[in-house]
Amino acid sequence: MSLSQIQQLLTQGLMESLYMLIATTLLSYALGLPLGILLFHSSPDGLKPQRLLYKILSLIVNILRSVPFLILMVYVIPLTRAIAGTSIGPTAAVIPLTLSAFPFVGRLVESSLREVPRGIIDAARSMGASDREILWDVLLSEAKPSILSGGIIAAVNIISYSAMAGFIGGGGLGSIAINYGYNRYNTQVMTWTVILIVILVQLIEGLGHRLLKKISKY
Amino acid sequence: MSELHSNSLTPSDPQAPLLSLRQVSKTYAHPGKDTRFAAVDQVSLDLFPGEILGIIGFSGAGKSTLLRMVNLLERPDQGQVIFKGQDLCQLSPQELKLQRRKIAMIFQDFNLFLQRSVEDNVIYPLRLSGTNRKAAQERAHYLLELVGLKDKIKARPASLSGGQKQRVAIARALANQADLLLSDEATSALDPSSKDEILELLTDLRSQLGLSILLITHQMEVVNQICDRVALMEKGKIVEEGSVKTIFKNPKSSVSKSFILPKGALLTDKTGKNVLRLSFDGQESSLPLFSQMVLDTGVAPSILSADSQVIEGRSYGQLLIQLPDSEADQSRILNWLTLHQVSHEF
Repeated sequence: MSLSQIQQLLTQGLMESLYMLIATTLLSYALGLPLGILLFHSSPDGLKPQRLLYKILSLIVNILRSVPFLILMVYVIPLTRAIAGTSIGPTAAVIPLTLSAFPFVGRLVESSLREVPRGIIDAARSMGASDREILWDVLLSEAKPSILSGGIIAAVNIISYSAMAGFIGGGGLGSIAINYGYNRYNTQVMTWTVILIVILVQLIEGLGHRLLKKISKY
Repeated sequence: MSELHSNSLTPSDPQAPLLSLRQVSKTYAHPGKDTRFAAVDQVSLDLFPGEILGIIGFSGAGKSTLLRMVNLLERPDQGQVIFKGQDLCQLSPQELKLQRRKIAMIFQDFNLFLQRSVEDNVIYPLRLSGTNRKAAQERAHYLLELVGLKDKIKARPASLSGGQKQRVAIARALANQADLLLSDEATSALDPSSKDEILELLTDLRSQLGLSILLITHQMEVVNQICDRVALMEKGKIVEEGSVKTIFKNPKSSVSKSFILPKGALLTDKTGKNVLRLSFDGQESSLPLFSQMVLDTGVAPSILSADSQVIEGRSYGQLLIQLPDSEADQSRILNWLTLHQVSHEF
C-alpha cells in the first residue's frame, strides 16, 4: 500500500469514527438524560419516590448493561436492519452503540443528580420552589459540571465500543484495524489506527475538561 | 363578610402569635424494625411578632424536625402549624408555595447554589415569585448591602468564608420579605468571631425589618446572645420554656441544668471539712466578689471547684470553697457573705 492510499484509508476511517461518536453520543443523551432524570426523580431518595416505576426502569437498565456489547451487537441485528436498512456501515453501528450507551448514560446522570446535596433541595423548597422548579432550575444547574464530566467518560467509552463495532463491519478505525491489521498483518496501518484513536480520546478529554472548567463555578 | 374579615384581621393584633404550633407530632420508623419513635411528641409553641425564640437541646432531641415542620419540609403526622392565622397543613400546594415565601430558612451548611454567583443566589427566589429581572437585581443588591457583602456581588459562593456564605444565605432567605426566619443551627459551623457577627446581624435585621426568628441550636451562647425566650427540648418534648433570664436563674429540668451549669448538676464535693457552697444568681459580674471578700475579711479560703458563667453582664453559677479551721475566720466569712447577700450553705 502506498502512503497516500493509507492516508486516504485512515482519513475515511477517522471520519466514520467521528460520525459514530457524535451520532451515538447525541442519541444516547437524547435517551439517557430523560432516563437519568426519571430514575432520580422516582428513586427512594428522589423528589417523588415511585417504587414500582423505579424498579422497572432499573431492571431495564441493568439488563441492557449486563449484555456484553459484542453479543448485543449481533443480537440486535434485526432491529438494526429495521431502523437503518442495513446491518453494516457506521450508521448501522450507531443503533447497537446507542442501545448499549444510553442506559449507562442514564445511570451517570442519575448519580450526578444524586450528588447534589439534599440541603440545597431543602433550601429551594423553603423558598417555595415546586418539584419541577427544583429539578430544572436547581438540580440540573447544580449537577451540570458533574453531568458534563460523565459525558466525557461516556464519549471515551463510545469510542472504544465503536472500534469493537468494526468486528461486524461497523466501519471506522476499528474496521480498518481488523481488516488491515488483523486479517492482512499490516502492522503499519494497525499502529496508525491505534495512534489516531489515542489522539481522539486525548482530544475529547482535553476539550471536555476545558469546557468543564469554563462552566463550573466551584 | 365581616365574619371573614374579623378572622383575617387577627394576625395584625400585636398580641396574636405570628406562629403557633399546636400539638404537633412526627413519628419515624426505627430503621430495620417495625416499631416507631416520636421525633416530635405533641409540641405546642407560640412565637410572637418581633420575637427571637430559641429551641435548645442535645442532638436527637427532635428540634430539627420541629423546625422543619414550621414550613412543612416535614409534614406533621398530627397537629396544626398556624402561621398568620392559617393552618399551613390545610393549604393547597399552590397556597403553601406562597406562604413559604414568607417563612425564610437558613441552614448550618448554608446550602447556597454553588453554580450561581452570589447575586444570582439572591435573585433566584425573587424570580420564583415572579419579580422581573431588573427589580430582582436591585433588591438583591440592596439585600447584599444590608448584610455587608456589597463587594462580593459577582463572587462565586465557593470563594467566600463561612460567615460570608451565611450572610448570602440570609440575604437570599429574606429576598421575598419574609416575616419569619427559621434558623437551623445557622452558626454551628462557624468560627467564634463569624458566629458573633451573624448573631449580631440577625438582631439588627430583627429591629430593622421587624423580623421574628425561631432558631434551634445546641450552643448556649447563641441563646444568651440573641434570644428573648428559650424552650428546652428533650426526647421530642419541650420540657421547659420561659424568658432566658428566668431559665438561667432557676433551671428546673435536667436539660436546662446540663446546659446552664456546665457540669450539669450542683457541685457536691462535701468530703472535705468546712466546705461551703456559694451560689451566684445574677450578681454584677464586674464585681470581683470573691477577691473583695478575701480583702475585706483577711481570710483566704481555698477554691475547690467553680462552675459559673456570665449572662448579660451578670454571673450565674456556683463556687465550692473550703474555709480555714479557725472559727473566728469562718464567722467573718459567713458574716461577710450575709452582708453582701450571697447565698451560701455548708
